[in-house]
Amino acid sequence: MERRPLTFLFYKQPKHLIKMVSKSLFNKTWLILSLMVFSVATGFAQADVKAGKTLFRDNCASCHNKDMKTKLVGPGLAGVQDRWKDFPKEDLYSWIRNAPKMIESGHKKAVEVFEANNKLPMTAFESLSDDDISNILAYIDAIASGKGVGGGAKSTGGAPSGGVNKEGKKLFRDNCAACHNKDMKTKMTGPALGGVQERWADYPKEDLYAWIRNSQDLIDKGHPRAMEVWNEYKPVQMTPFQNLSDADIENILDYIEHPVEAAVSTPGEPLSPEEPQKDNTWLYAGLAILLLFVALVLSQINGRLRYNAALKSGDSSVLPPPGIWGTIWNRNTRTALIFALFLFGSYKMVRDAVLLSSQRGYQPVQPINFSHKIHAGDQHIDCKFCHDGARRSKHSVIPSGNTCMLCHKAIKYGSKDGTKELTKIYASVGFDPSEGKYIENYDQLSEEDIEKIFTKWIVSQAIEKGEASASEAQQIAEKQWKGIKTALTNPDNGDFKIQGPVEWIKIHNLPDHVFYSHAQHVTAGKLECQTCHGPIEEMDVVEQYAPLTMGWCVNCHRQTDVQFDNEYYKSYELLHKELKEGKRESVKVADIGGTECQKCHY
Amino acid sequence: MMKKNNKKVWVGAEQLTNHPAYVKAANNEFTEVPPITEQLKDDSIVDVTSNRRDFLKYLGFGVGTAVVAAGCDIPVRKSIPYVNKPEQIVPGVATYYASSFVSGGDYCAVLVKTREGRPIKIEGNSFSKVTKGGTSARAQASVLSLYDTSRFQGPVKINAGSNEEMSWADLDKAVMAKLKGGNVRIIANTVMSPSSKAAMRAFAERYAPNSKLEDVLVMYDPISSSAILEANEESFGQKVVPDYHFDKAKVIVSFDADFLGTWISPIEYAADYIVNRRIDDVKKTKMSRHYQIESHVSLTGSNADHRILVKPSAQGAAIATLYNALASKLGFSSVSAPKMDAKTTKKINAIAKDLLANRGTSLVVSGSNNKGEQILINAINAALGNYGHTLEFTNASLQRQGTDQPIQRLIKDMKSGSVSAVFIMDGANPAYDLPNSSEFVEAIKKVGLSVSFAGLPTETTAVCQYVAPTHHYLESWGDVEPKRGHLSLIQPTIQPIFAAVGKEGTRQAEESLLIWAGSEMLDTRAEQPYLEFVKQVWRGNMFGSQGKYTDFQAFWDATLHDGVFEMAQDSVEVTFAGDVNKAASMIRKPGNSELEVSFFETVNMGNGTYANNPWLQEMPDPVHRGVWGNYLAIPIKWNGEDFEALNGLNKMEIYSEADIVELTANQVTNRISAIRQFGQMAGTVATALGYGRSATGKRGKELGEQVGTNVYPMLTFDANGNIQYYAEATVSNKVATDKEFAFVQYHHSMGLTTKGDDGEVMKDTKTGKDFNIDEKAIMILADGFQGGLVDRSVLYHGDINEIDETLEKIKHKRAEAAELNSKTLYPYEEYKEKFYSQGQHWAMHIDMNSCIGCGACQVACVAENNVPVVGKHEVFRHHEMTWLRIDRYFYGDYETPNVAFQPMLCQHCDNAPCENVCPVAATSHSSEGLNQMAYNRCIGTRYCANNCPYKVRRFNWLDYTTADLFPINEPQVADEDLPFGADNLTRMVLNPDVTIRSRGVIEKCSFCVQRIQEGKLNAKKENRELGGNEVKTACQTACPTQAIVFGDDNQKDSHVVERIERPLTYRVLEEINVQSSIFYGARVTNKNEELEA
Repeated sequence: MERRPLTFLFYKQPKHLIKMVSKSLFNKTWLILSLMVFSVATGFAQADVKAGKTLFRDNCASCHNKDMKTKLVGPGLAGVQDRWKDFPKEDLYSWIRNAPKMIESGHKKAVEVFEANNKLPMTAFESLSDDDISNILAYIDAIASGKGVGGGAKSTGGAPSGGVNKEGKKLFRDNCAACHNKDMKTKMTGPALGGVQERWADYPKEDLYAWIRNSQDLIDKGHPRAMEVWNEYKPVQMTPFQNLSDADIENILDYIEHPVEAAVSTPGEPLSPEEPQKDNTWLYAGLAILLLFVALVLSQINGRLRYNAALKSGDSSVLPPPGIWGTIWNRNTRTALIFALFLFGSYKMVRDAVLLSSQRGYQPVQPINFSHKIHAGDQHIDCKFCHDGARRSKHSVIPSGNTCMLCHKAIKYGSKDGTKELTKIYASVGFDPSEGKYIENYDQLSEEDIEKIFTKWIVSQAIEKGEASASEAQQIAEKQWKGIKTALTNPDNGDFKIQGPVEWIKIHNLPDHVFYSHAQHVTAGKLECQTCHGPIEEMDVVEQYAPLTMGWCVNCHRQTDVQFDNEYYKSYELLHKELKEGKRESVKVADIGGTECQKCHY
Repeated sequence: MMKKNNKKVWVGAEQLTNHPAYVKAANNEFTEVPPITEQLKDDSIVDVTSNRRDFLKYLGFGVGTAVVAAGCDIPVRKSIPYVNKPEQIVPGVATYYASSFVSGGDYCAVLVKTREGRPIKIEGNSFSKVTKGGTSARAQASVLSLYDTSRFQGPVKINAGSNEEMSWADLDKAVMAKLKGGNVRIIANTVMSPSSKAAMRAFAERYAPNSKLEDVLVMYDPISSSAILEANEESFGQKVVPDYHFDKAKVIVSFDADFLGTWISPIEYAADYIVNRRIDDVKKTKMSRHYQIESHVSLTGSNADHRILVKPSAQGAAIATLYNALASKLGFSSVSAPKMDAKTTKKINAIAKDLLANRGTSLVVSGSNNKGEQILINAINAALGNYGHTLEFTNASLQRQGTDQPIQRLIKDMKSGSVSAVFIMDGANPAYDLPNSSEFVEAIKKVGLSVSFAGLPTETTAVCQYVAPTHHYLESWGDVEPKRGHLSLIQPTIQPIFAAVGKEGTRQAEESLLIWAGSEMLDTRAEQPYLEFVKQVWRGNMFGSQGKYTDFQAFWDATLHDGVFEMAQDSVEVTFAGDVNKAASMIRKPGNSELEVSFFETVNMGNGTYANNPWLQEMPDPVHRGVWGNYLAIPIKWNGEDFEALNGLNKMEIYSEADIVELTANQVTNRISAIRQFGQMAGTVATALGYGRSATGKRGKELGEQVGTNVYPMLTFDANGNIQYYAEATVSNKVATDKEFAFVQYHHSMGLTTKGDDGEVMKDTKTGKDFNIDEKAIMILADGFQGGLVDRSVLYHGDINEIDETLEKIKHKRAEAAELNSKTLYPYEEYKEKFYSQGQHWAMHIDMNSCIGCGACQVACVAENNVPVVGKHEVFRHHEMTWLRIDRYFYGDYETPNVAFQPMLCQHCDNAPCENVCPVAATSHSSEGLNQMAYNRCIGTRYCANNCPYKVRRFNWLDYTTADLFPINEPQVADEDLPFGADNLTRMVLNPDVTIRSRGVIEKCSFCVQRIQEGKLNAKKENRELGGNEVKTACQTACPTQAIVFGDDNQKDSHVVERIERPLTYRVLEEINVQSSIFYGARVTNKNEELEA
């Protein structure tokens, strides 16, 4: 086949030069016009909030909770503009751009925030433009204003409507789900809970709270709604939940109202806000169609006129215009369509292929129901206390059994699971909690012997803590022993021994051709663990927070400042000079070769 | 006759004659595989003919597989922590332990790098006064032997060829039932361990009371130094190898002793030798002069200033002639000696003159195993007053203790049935490495009990009754005394592997001996009984000799940490008391036969014990550059028109085809592939010992089996019962063709093209045209910088006596290159200022004057960077994967050329030609000057390799590392049941910090970027600057002569900058403006003008 330029796609008969020019001119106008319309139609819907969302995720989300309410490393951002309203807007902007500088300058609000947040200075985001910041603020407002719980109620929970109240979901699962169906529509032991607030709407809210906390009490008092429910379900009593706070109950109720995810929101992504502006997409689309139509009509007129003119001048070589359908559905548009489809397909394929192996949101069930929330969150144990490799090695290191024993030699009864999970560690390392000492020759013990030691412990604890009677305790022990056995053996791999390590499921997996060093990021780069691992101190079950894709890594390397005061960087004289002279505000990782291939691939 | 060709550097005969195949190969990166032969046609890969239908099938399959693979769940990966984490281990951080590599007489003080409790790399221990931080290829490769899948996993009873596994308790019972005293013998190669000897003594006392250890322990060395021991006993009453000081010698004369490669203690000698050979300051240097008298080219000979060719049988005559030459000058009476020809005598007289001028600072050594010759050598050294200066006995070497006669006496005793039990230590393999191994095989059948301690199946284990496998040295406790007063410890760096995974496991040989002796010295209840035993020996013998520590445990801990310990020795003064006339009567008589063959040891294969180690098998022999086998080195000469080898053999070498001939010596005939060797003396041929093993591993897992030819049966004994490593021989004409001739000399050759002495580009004889037409065209366009591409700067060499000429030449050529390079479009200077001058910029300097070509760096690179083993067939197809190759160049005259070794690796060019041709940017440049390779980005176009002027990029033609999903892509090495490297045990050797490359990608030297990154991170963690010499590459640390220096050239006080600024420094192919980061130091000799004339 002969080689032709790419324009071959659009031209057919190069012989008729004049015609071709006019035709191509027409084609071009038509193409450009339609492209313009297309971009107008799809372009500008809520650009600021959307942009704000991306900016928030890239810059703020590692320290500020995306629900905008709860504190993470930094404070909840809902109402941040209100809090700064006594100061000129520029102050808030410069706070975001360079908080440390502002603290240093002694700005009242800046110092106040600094003090309130355990003197953790906020990272400087010098690269953010005014537009960026206003976008972020718009997004923050969008999220904050979109909440479902009434503004006046002092509630700690609550989710934006359209999303699922996670807290409520958890509470529901832990407390209610045993008796109430989670679809909220069908009866189980207890009634279907959908619309419960409506049914109690005639009474003060406190009554419903009281009912949930202790239903028998309310029945005894003869509360009408309480009697109604009791009559329907007696003799089944609802278990009392004395420990639930008002906020907890509010969360549960909120979850009951919105049990399923309404909006499309992937785990780990900020929940999409209720758009404050009206959606103008249809308007633009209509406009686009109209413009297209006008373009078509114009082209028809143009063609007809040209044909008539040609006929008049006696040029018979000009063909009549092809009509509306012919104009739309001709060879050129078909080619363009195929080409566009091909481009779109390729783009889509590449985009999706990149994410194909990303395990973002991966949250496997671990052999031990270990809660980072209890350890890192409630107990404030430093991450690097257990993951001690993070400071000095490429691996953060899953702590060994004896690390757990540092504390759990003394703390033998879990706050949540009692003996259920902790005994697994004892069985792994060979510690007899009843005696308070390590078992000698543990490695040689048979499974029966081990079972005896630990069931004895579980039984004694169950009775001691008043969980169960002696006979029930035996059952509990048997059940828990089964759990221990499953956690510590792996028959698929020929590991039938209780003794020995716990096989955890690895959550964060990098491909073999990636070299990642925790020490580099934690010790040299002084990053917080949460930067990549997310709010780990809030996770009962750990999930992969970051996508861990190369784009994500490289982006961070482009945006993160190097700890340039480290003596190691002394040899970068030019950069130091530029910093000193004020030619440069910061040194990013990419500036010192942080995006070169062999920094991570070798 | 065109004899002298002093200026030109050459790699082989075909290059000199501009063989079209050579020219083609030199211009192409990917040489065409030799024409498809009959054998290759059977190869299904070659036979595939593709059509469109196939293409669509594969495409469909590929897409389908990708969809299936993508649709599957991501596999669940487990993360298993320690139950009780050992304090010193941090997962992800390497831990180093001091230990000692020992195999027979081979010794190296080492540091073992372990990751998560598994040894992965050997480094030298710089605390050692013996090896001084250097290593050898053998020491580097020893870590792979630990993970040999062939190893015995427990005791075995050999029963008519089939092996029955048994438990240690059963074995102990069986052995002790049969051990009822009588004539008990232990067979071993040199034993350097005081503790082993103590254990053997305890064993001897139990079963042969009233006998001395010497009566029970029969030590022999397959490649024997028996005559040296005997001669020194007779001359000085010291049955040891003296302590040679090559660093104190101004003149070194070696009669066939390969002291840099294989002779006794090569790591130590190389380090000493180079002290007076390297040129740190060209104006002040006093270079030593080295004469080598030999017939085949040894590694040592290739480093010598002068090689004097003498037939193997005339070595004695040459030594006697030298003695007489010295005697006449010194007024001693001469000895009667066979006459040498006038030319050689003249040369020897010149050497004598040189020696006399350096009395007390000269050293004469001989590798001869003839007692008379060794006594004469002693007499020469005594006459020169070298004792007490360049030779001493105070710290005499204990690395060779075996003599040839005792084992022969034992064979006789065994035959007569008077021996009740023999125990064969690991490493000793008398059923293979004795000249009369067949006699040994017969004799051992008459012994009541035979137990081998071998860790791997060998020819000897096959004829023993039991195998009680011992640990690998990396699993053992032990000690070594390589020289009197120099001790070092062996400590385990991993749990004995097989016992740890529920197998019966191995047990230290000494422990077995002590158990069978029922010795009270062994505390069997201790956790590690043999450790306690070694400690007892040290408490008794070594602890008292030092005053630093008063507590034994503190002493032990400190010694274990350092790995080495020195014990003060009483100085030994000697006077020569030998009878030179008697000695002269014992020397070998020059033969009259047309052809003599000499047998030598290679630096990689040794005496044959390393046969199952593929890293060593695949390391090209530095001298003849063949892999996976031994070859018959045949002389080649210029007949005025063409180069002609012995019997007209090997004309097809350039096409990777060798001729197989029949070599007959000592009534034994073997088939062997020939290899043409410049520098091989006419009328002689040579081949290596240690090949042709018939049992090296378990069936299906053996690698070195039947590789090469076993020539041990060709060895003979002299009148004193010492083994002689030469014989009269006949070589037949070609009997067959070796179609898998794995010879890497012409692979990846670069730079040398076709400019003659007269400066004219040579013409193709057929077409009458210049070679390299394309290049010439470029040169015309490039405004006449003619020298640029044809006369390339690859190797500069000169002589110390005319050093100014060499310096001038280098200066001139570099200036010319600089001028050429200044006419560039590349904004190199700008980059340099903006990026390369900031932070680090890495550079390397390789001093070719220090490089002896030993190959330690090459194996170290393989170990460090997970470079795959590809096997012989793949090497034959030019597919070897080594990132670092050692190019061998000849210069000087054709008969005794000088040799230069040039380690060639990625030059990390700042204007890298490979980078800008990559269509997917898989190779790119870093701000630190590294030429980076991102394997997962590479799509395998191989444009980069084509554009690399140094030919250092390697393509993974097959899935050598078994990283592929589909096993069909995996090549097999030596018919293993699993491809080599696929076994989980073998994979334990992999460096976890370096990616395993799969099929279809290019790889190359990364300047050990993992070490660079580690060094940088350590500096950051400690909040300090990174020192310019802090990061060391694997090749650098392996080198026994510090030929390689790596560092940051932005730090002006770094070692590498100091070296770069030396006047002998140049860059290879500097004129093509690639701005390479590797600098070379020119090769300099120190010729004796009298011999040159």
